[in-house]
Amino acid sequence: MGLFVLRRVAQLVPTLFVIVSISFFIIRLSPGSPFTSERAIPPEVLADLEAKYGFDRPLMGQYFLYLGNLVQGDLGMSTKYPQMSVTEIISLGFPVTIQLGAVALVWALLLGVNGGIIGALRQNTKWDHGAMAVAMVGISLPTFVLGPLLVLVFALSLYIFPPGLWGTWRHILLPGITLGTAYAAYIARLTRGGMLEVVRSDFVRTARAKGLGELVITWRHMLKGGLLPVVTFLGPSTANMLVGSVVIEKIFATPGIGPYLVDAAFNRDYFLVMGIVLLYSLFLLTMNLVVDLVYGFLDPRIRFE
Amino acid sequence: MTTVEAASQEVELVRGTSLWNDAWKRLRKNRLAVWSSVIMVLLVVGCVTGPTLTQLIWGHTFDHQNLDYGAQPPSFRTHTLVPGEVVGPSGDGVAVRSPHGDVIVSHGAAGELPSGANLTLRRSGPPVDGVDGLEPCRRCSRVRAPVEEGPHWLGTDFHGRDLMTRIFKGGQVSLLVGLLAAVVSATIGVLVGSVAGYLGGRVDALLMRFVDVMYSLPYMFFVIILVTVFGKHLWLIFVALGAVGWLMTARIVRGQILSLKEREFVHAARSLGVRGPAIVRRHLIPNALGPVIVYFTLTVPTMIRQEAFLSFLGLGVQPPNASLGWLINEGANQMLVFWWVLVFPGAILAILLFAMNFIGDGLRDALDPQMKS
Amino acid sequence: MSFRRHHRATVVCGLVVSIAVAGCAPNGAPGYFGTVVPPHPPNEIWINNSNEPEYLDPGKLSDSAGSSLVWNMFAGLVQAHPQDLAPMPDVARSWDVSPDGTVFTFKLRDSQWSDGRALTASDFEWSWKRVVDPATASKYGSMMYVLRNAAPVNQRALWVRGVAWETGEEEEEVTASIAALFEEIAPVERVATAEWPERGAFVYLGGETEERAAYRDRAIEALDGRSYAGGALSVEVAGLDLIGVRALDDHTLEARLEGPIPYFINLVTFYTFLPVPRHLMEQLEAEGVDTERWTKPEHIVSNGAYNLVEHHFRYYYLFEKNPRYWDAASVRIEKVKTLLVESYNTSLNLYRAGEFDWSGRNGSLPSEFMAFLEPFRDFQRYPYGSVYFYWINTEAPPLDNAKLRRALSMAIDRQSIVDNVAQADQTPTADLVPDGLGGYEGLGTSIFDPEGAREVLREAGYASGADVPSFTLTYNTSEGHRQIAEAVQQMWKDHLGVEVQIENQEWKVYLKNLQLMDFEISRMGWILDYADPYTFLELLSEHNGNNHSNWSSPEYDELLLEANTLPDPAERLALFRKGEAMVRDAAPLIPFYVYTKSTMIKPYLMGFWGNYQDRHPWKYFWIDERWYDGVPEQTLPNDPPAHTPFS
Repeated sequence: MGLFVLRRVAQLVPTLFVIVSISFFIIRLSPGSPFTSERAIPPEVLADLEAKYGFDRPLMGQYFLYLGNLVQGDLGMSTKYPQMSVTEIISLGFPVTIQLGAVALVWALLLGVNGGIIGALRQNTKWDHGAMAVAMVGISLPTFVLGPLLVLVFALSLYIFPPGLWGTWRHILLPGITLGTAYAAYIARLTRGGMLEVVRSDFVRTARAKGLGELVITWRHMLKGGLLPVVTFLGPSTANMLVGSVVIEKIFATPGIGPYLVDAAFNRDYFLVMGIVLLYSLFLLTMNLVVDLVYGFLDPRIRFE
Repeated sequence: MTTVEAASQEVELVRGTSLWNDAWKRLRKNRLAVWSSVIMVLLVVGCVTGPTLTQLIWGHTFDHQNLDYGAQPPSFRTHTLVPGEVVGPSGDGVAVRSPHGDVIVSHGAAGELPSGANLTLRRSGPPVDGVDGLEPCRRCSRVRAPVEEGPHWLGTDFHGRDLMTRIFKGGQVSLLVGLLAAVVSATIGVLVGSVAGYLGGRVDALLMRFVDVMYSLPYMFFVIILVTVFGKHLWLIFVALGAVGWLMTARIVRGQILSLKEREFVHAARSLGVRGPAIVRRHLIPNALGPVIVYFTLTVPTMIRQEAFLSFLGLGVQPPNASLGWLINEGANQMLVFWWVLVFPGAILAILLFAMNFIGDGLRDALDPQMKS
Repeated sequence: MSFRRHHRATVVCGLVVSIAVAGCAPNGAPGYFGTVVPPHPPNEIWINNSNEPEYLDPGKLSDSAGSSLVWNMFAGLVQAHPQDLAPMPDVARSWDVSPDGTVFTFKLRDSQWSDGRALTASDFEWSWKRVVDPATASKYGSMMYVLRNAAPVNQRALWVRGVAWETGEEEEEVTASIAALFEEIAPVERVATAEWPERGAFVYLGGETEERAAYRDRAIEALDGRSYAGGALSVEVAGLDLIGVRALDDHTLEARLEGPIPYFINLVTFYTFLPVPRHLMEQLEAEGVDTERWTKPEHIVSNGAYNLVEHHFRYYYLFEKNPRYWDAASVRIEKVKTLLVESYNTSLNLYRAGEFDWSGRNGSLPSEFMAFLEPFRDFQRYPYGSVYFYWINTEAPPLDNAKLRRALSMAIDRQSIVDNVAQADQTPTADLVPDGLGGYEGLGTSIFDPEGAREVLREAGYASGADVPSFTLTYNTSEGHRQIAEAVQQMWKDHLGVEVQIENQEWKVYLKNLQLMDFEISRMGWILDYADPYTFLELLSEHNGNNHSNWSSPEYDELLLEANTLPDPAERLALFRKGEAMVRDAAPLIPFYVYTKSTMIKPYLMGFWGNYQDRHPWKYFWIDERWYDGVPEQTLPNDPPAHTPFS
């Protein structure tokens, strides 16, 4: 088990290396440069600007320089915001996004798992249909519709929550719920599907034959099996919330890192793009590792090899 | 040995056909699924033929802008736009002369227009002589001859394009994106997932490492770069969405197969001498198909949503083309002012997704081999 | 004055009602969009700045988001009047102009940086030179080109002395003989002679950018100290001391210009001319801190009405009144919070909920909402000195035909575009310079002339528009630009029969193609830098890097140069009109309209006036406190300040 984790962590390094290399060359070979602007800049000034960031060197040289700096933990400076280092930008925005994601995740799990259990235990009743219909609505409502709708109702009509910005728990709820609802819907459906698989399995039958109470069976046996697909789903989804937060953070003007990936790529802010890609990848890989571990706990038949 | 193998193959053959036959029977009994299928067919037919129909009947096209007629609420009536000329201020509005020489006083809306300015008058219903029903419209101007507009049952968007035609057109794009991307991703996903899950060991590690790497690439980043290099094309969206979508299916299938292959019936088949590919095809995939189908029914809407997400960032379908997601995004931006631009595309998408869902559920129940016993 | 907040529900509004009817917030009032009671004390204001600025360094800044903040953080020599933009003294008490109009002498008042250090004329000298210094890599270095010798220094030209010539000698011969010196050493792009600070010449080297440094070194090594015409040559890279700005003493700054530049005083109000704290940057450098970070709240020293105290990246900036600003006595608001909300929908929501007092100058209101927002009493609209136009690449066939270009311009119904597409009461124009700018009376070219356009098209040699080979119209991806492009496409088809493809490009790609002249027709919006027609007309001069038309005319360039030497404004403007007529006939660009700005501003926020440059100094802002108690029966007068006289 410990060895398994160690080996997986060791495997992260080459994976990250591949990711960094691919993204470095893709962004560098795309047309345009960070310094193209509406107003003409004299070539001399442009040359100085480029020299400042080392863009005057050959591309391979820049690549190795970047890798070298990366190993030392230096992610470089932003070209769009020259007074900010990429590390600073990330350390300011990431906690916000993580908080937002945490609220969304809790909301998604609360709503999703419970909805799924109701659906599975009362299969084909109106409870089931109701829960699944709600889940469908959750899935079919894009976040950029749900967000403004929630704002309209709770911020601009009932005046319970602010329509955006950040700072207090009141600011976090609307964006969190908006982000989490779609995931709640998926989780509900996956929980229901997974549990229905388990409902008829031998070990549940055995448990029932042993005379265990329904509640114990549900929580200890069925849910454990039923959550397998949910866990698979949750790993990348948690990380996907980072991308999903692009929309949320634009709508609610939340100061997280969500919009940076897109904006930075548009601005050709090379080092910021690389930093965000790296962060995102690292986060995803970690989540995948966690999923594999949890998988092992839930399904003892899977061995850590 | 040969006899055992032959016997097992025979058994497989019988079981295999009956699995799909039974499924079909069960599916037909599921009224919700049947009705959903009917609705799906209607939607598909509607989206495919709709734009042609509205053009034939009223002359609407999805991209024709009639700026004089922007953001009109739903109506079954034909409208006529008539040129008018501002005569001068009158009370809180202006007096406008129509081509018949009638002077109409507009209140408030026309604001402070100078004398001689052009202003369009609008008349609801079929053209009749006289002043009745004529009203100056603020956003309209400079119509040189009377223009008749076919009815817009679902209203028009801000640029005066017929919303119904645009929804049909958007439905086409969304269905295409959703179904194609989902089919592609499910096929690749099942293939990779089952091979990885069944073979295990080094192959599994290799494939899953590949999936991991693919996963940890923020695909939005690639889409942005691709789009900036190659321009915005619909096929790029397929590639981008399809290339990412299969990863999840692969993981789910692998997970299923990992637990299924330790099951008794697989051990039994193996001890009977059934070969690997056959076990995967006959035993593992059908048994793992339940979650895959559930996931597939989720993938279609996901793909539609992903496309909408790209549209939100300005990277998806490019105007004047539209997808349902694009229309809804625009509607969400304008819902404070024009409700119909959100409600109608939203309703169509909801119906579409509900239908897809019930069909998916029906298929799932029908295909679940464990329910047979 | 105590801070009271009354939760008065003016209208009892249910959910449905409020969805349909905006403006019935708990603190709302009929006719207003959202709340009308400030949620903060009366000495504070909250503004949306929309975007995170690239820089807060006035010398390096080039975006509108930064200018909104920087103009309030730093005080320059001269400030613009908040309503009519007339120059008013700021740090400079007064200024004198030499009789030939080329030397401005500013008299500075006693003032301090926010850390208490005295602000002197040499701070200005250093700041201006810093912008010109190519090592600073300021994108707006070219703003300083009005200063004597700033252009060659900024472009690292070689400063050659020891080449004597007679005063009466033909300039061409002189430059040719200087260029001959460099033969086989380095490629010469052009040579410009100079008389100040001493007789000499600036040699601009050509060749690839990467190789220029090597060429420079080679030229200096080969030529510097070489004996020539009885003396010795001196060749060096043009240094900062050549730039025409000098502190004569602590309170006197002398600016020597390239010529008599009548708009110089207007230009000095621009942010590039603001002072930066040299002492802070030197101190940071000594401490080993990256000097790029001097604008961080923990370091920054400024001299304007407000100090930056807090910054959360891409979230907000918090400013406090600077007690050391020379005019601090007239600054009324203690705290200004500027938020960075990009989405205009979100911005409107926040404005409606009372989180903003003003939706800000950097975001725009969505055109779909115009008709909806216009009737609200807190809606404001004013003309803005920016022109929407299309560049034509005059070397790309078939657009190398001036008559065809002219015909294309005439066939556009600009009124219809403004009425139906842009929809913010913009002023349609077929001329580049907005009417009335700096007293300029435009040509008044007809904004739409389909008959004439067909006529000119025939003159161009095309019997019908269908004979014109197809070309492409490019715009950067945006819904608004697309609509205009589509409308233009339709108009050219309807009125001329000319077919044109339209294509959108992502911003950076579009800019790159613009710079490489890889387009046929391309969209552009140009914002004036100072209130004078020259800011637009110089766009088309040959050496202007922003001229993306490939069109140039020595006659036109002469004319502009001559205009700036004329002391009489009327004569000068008359020459400009001549120049503009040349532009109209050559049609290297197609103007559409002069922009307007639409904004939402709470009724209690006073001291706001619309102007051409959309400049709104916070120091004039104040809050009408009667709104805390409800809607006042009458609004207070909002008179702009008097034009401060020289003192």
